[in-house]
Amino acid sequence: MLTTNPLTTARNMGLGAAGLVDAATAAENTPALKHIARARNTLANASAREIGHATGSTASNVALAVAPGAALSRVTALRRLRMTPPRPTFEPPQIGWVKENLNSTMDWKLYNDGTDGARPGFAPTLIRTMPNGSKRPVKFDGVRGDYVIDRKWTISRWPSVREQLLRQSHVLAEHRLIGVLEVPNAKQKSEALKLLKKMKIINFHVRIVEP
Amino acid sequence: MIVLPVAAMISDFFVFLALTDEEWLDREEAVEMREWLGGRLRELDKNLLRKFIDAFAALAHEERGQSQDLVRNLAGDLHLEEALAAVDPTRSEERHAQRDVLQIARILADISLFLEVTDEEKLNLDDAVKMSEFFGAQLDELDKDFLRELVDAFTVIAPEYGDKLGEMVRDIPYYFSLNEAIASDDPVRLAELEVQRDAREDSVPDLDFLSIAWRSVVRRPYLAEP
Repeated sequence: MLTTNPLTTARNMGLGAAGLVDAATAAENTPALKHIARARNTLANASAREIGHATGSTASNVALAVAPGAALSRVTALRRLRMTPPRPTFEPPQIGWVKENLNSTMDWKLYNDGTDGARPGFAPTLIRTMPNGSKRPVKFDGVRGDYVIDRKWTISRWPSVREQLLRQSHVLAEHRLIGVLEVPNAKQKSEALKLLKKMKIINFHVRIVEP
Repeated sequence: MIVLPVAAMISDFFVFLALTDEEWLDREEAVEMREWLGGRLRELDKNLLRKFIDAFAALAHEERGQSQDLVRNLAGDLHLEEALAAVDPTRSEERHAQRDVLQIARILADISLFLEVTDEEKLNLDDAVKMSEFFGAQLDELDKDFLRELVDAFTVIAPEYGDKLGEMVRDIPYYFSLNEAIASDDPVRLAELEVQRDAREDSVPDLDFLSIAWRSVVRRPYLAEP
């Protein structure tokens, strides 16, 4: 698909724009309302991840590209489409790795070190923005895709454990990630679920991973 | 009393104080706490102190690298041998088992409180929680008879820590679920403890904000009240 500017040509080819020509030819024969309805359905049914990971060729852009003239006359439908809230893009989690030196050869240390995505001697961290604007790191044990993992040998009842869960929950929400508490047995899982419920934390799952 | 597991907990904590990076643990804070605990150890009854010195030596063999050197030199660095050699004429030579347990309880309480209430500027809160978790796991594995004595000892020593901290010391068995560890073979007792625990939790409103209020009202344990 040649345009006057070679950069545009290259970009359009990268975006798969060549296919648009054929699509446009077919689309000229399809009413604009149908295009917009289809685009809206695609947007509604696509997961945010699909849209975010796509190379910029969102359904709405395709719809407008293939039937611009016809679409302009359908103002109401178009306005509805434009008002669709922008979906968040899902970049990989912004995990930093900080040196960690908690020394023990016992079961519980090995359990923590065995977390998915753990790096020995380092802790994965997410940066939390405090209410006053300052940044603080919040540490975890491992990462698996968009899930950030914290392993707990036992769920102790100290206030600091609850504070930590709150900190972790806040930073996860800030980064739009999900936390996973991995515990060694059913008893600890039930303790963890009780605690999460008590604290009204909703962005943590609990999973049993036997040591 | 079986000294080795308790000595292991204490030496692990000394290693934590020494090897945690300056970014996460303030150097002065670490040194102050180390000195404080050294003082507690030096006050142990002679027979018990002898056992601790031997235990540290034995534990050093199980460590590697920097931590091995640290544990091997612990008795020397804390002047424990000199404390053994010093004779205190005012003190009775008679061993009191109960006094031993109280002294151990004080050391364990100091460590628990340090990890719980030290300010975020001095000690990274995530590291503190992690270390406290290890500490609790080690406590869980202690001999049950000794644990029973410890649970009672925390109640006895609590007044020495003042109001707020004393309340926390008295609640150490609750926070670390020590009674549950003692009753692990007794389902009836465990059910009783569960009911008590639920009742306690239900009576605490706004769990998330309450826990944060602790830090503003407590002081570090080794700034002992006169």
